[in-house]
Amino acid sequence: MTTFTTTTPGVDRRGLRGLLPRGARAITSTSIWGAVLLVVLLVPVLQLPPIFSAALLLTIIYIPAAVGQNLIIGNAGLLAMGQAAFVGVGAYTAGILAVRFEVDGSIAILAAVLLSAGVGALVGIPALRISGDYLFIVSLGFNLIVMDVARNWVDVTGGATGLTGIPTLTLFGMDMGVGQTFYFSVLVMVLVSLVVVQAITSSRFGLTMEAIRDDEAAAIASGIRPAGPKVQFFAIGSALAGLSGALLAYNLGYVGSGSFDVSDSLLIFQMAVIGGLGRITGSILGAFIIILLPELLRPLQDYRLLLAGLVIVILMILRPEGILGKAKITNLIKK
Amino acid sequence: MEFFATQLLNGLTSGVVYAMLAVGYSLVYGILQQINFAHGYVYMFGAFTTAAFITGGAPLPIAIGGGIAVGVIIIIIVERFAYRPVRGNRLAPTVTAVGVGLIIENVARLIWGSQIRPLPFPLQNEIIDLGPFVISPLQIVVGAVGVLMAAGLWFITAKTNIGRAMRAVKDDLPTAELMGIPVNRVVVFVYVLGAIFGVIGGILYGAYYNTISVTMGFAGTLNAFTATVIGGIGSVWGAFAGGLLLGVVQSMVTGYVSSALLNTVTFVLLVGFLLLRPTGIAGTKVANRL
Repeated sequence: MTTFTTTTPGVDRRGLRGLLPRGARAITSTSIWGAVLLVVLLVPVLQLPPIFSAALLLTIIYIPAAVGQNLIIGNAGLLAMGQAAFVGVGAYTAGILAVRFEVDGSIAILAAVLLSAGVGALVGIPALRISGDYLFIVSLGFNLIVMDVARNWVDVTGGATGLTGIPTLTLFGMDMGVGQTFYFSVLVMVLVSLVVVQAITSSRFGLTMEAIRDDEAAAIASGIRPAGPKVQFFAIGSALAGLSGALLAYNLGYVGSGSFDVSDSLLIFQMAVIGGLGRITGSILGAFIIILLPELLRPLQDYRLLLAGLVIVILMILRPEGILGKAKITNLIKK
Repeated sequence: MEFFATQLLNGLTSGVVYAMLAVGYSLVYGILQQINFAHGYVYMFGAFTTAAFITGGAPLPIAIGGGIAVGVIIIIIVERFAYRPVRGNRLAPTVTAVGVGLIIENVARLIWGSQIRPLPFPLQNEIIDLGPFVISPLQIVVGAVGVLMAAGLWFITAKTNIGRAMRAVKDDLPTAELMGIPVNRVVVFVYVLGAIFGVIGGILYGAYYNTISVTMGFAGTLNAFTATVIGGIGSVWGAFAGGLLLGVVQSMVTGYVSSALLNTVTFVLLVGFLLLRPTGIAGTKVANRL
């Protein structure tokens, strides 16, 4: 394979300084980003019906989790699916810090992201030995354990009743928790996370990961150690899910174990795959489709989930690599 | 000792149900390296159909046959329209399977509602006292059906033409196709075989616990897939061994420790097997592709 010949010349060796323009260029060049951003920014101004704007906020909150899933499968080539577990870790961390220790939102969210990354790294370690569908099932199993802990560690998580009374979001002492202020704070935090992701994936580190994904034997032969990048990418993907979780906790004012089930992991997985692996824009689009579609179908009441299922099947048959995906990546995922 | 025997029997009973479901995963995975995530939903829908027949007053054989027939029809449609168009792709079948699961579960909700329902079955309230412990006649039925089905499956895979074709396709799909084996038909047969086992497993589950719910599809999927991996994916014997082992371990943990730890123990067992013996109990070789 021509993996490393394409890797080395394109890489900027100046380290962090070299990252910024590259990341910035990639963002501005993608017109879809601009269009999505415009719509998302306009919505609160347009005074949409509350159900729709609530669904839109939820979509934005879930974008980092979907992008994280995309990083783990698309960029790292690790077939893992347990993002809801890390959303849960993030939500409980932020919720507990906000309720019990009354810390500022900035600290609670940062702690949620860091703890999710740490737990993600721990789960990523077995990924070094387990691959393909086995890793898929192991990550699902981890999701089940997080659910067990959330339901049974009553002193900390509130058990089945959940964690209630999460205060509205404060950032650096300023109240950001209500209406449009909250909406825009969430939007800004999600956008910042996407810029960071863009910088990581187009950095030397990101390209190293892609080289390992494309051909692990060739990457090892050219002096790359696959263990580090794999675990680190797993941690980054989990950290993004943790961000989604922390934002979700502030959005709902409540953390219950019901939002972090395996079925929620499946939804996040669908966002990444339907949107297209290897493209951040794909996961954004995927989040919109998976969350907004059932909301738009709400007038059909009992038939809406059935139809959502039908749309998912048809979309996948028409474009198996995802709407914006690169066909190459789906075929590279190891058996 | 009494308690141990009771827990062991309970474990073996749910183990047979896991095994029946696991066979479906193992057969399909052995040939297509794909996890048939819609399998659990077929199992649920089949059990509901049988329950509807029984509640409607149909005789037992017709009710069971009806459930199996509906399960088989569903899986044939799913294979043709949701799996075959994306065959060969690594992730797309997983997503279409999730979509299909959503469709099947919500059709079941529309027809039967979301509440837990009974599955009335003969022998449900009877108990045989064996002195040191009691056994329910249904447990004997579950065990006997399990043994019979395992023997039947062994006969099909080892002694029949379609069984030989299945093994050929499993070993090397392109070559089998070149040798004139109708691969598509074999694949459909494998799915149908899985559906038959799955629906019978669903009926046994519903009959034994006298409850079925539309959400049992997803729960069944995870346990049965764990059983498949523990047993050795791709191996029919492994599926049975893994199902029984998982059933007994879960039953012992529920009985002696706490049911709160059920998922955790299942997961530890799974990871332990993957790290220490990735080929499972049966030791099926899975070639590592470079």
